[in-house]
Amino acid sequence: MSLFGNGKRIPRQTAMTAIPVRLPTKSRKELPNDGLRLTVMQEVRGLMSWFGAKREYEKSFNLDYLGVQVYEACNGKERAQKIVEEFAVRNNFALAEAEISVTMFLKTMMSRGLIAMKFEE
Amino acid sequence: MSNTAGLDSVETSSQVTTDEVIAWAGWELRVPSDWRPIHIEGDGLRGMMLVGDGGTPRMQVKWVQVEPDAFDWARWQASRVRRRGLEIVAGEEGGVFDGFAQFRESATGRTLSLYYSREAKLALEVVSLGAGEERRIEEALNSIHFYPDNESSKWSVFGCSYVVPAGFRLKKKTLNLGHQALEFECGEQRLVLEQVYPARLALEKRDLKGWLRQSAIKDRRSTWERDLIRPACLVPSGDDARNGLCQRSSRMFPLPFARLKPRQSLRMVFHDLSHDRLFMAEHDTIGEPQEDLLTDALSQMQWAKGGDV
Repeated sequence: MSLFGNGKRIPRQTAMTAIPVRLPTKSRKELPNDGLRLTVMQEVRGLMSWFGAKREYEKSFNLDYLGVQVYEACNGKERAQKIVEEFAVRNNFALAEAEISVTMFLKTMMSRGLIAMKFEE
Repeated sequence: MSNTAGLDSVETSSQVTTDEVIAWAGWELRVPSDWRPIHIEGDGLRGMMLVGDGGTPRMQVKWVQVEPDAFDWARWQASRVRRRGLEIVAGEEGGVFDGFAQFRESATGRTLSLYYSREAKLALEVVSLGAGEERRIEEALNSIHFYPDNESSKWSVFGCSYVVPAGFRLKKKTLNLGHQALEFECGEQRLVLEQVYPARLALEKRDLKGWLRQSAIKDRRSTWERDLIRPACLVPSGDDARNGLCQRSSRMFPLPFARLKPRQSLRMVFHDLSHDRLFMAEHDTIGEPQEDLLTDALSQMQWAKGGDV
């Protein structure tokens, strides 16, 4: 057992079968060059919550057109593997490069509270 | 690329048939499309590449440039085997390769394949690492091909491919997502081949002139523009015309060392609209840089889905 977290790692094959789902956003604004600004509510954690800060605050994220492609593909139906393959075909990327960049971006969006991953039994 | 649904394409990865070409340092290998270089080290003379899928390494390829007159194939082969304690499975001399031998480690089932090509001045050592992937590893091994040392050779990873003139050896490599740069050296000459993608994102960052001025060769010399930027056009065979820019420049050390080995360089940048990529090349030398060398290199620079170049 590890001290921080449960120490479990999800195997790559399992991770690629996960289905990313978009989480609700407070606002959504189109940007020039096919970009998108997403605003979400985030929970205040750590020391600030002890000093009477508001429980939630607004946080905005700007996505470029490649980010929008991945974000829009997180529709709760497509698996991560399928999103990677479509991204590679659409943008003329090698599958390996698309896999690295899309999975990294999915992880980032997950940590920012923009998407969640659904695993099927 | 597989068009099957997500789960199926993961579970049936062993059925992936599209080939990915990996060509490096004078050798070429066709591997399944879900395999890729995981780790590359060394240069054109000696090095190692790990090839595998996203999760597991499948093969380890080690290469060493040899001098055919001084190279003793039997001795080199014996040194590899002695180190590992393997049993011979197959051996051949005078076939496709000037030397070929395959060994199996009975405990692990791993195979060690040794190749030697006199023409390519190259000895290659391939260790299979993937248990349960023997068929695909064997197919990959059967596709091994060498480029003769006195002819131009192909370099290809992650679907980007480059053709490098004979005599140039890899000095430095940058393999980042969206940016590849290979720097080759031949005596006093340096040749840099670069691809940046997607071009749309790259051109949002800086325009084509900006990319032209962004020299890939980094040393203490300062760059002085010799000519005005002029337009250039390439018509690669079977492809759309590529429009771009080109400029000559001088590169000198700061005063008072400006007269010490000044260099001349020619840099060309092209925007390939059909693949949404920037193709760049730079020739840096003591004498006059050769435009033909760059146009040849740029017209043969490709990106191909699944490595089908």
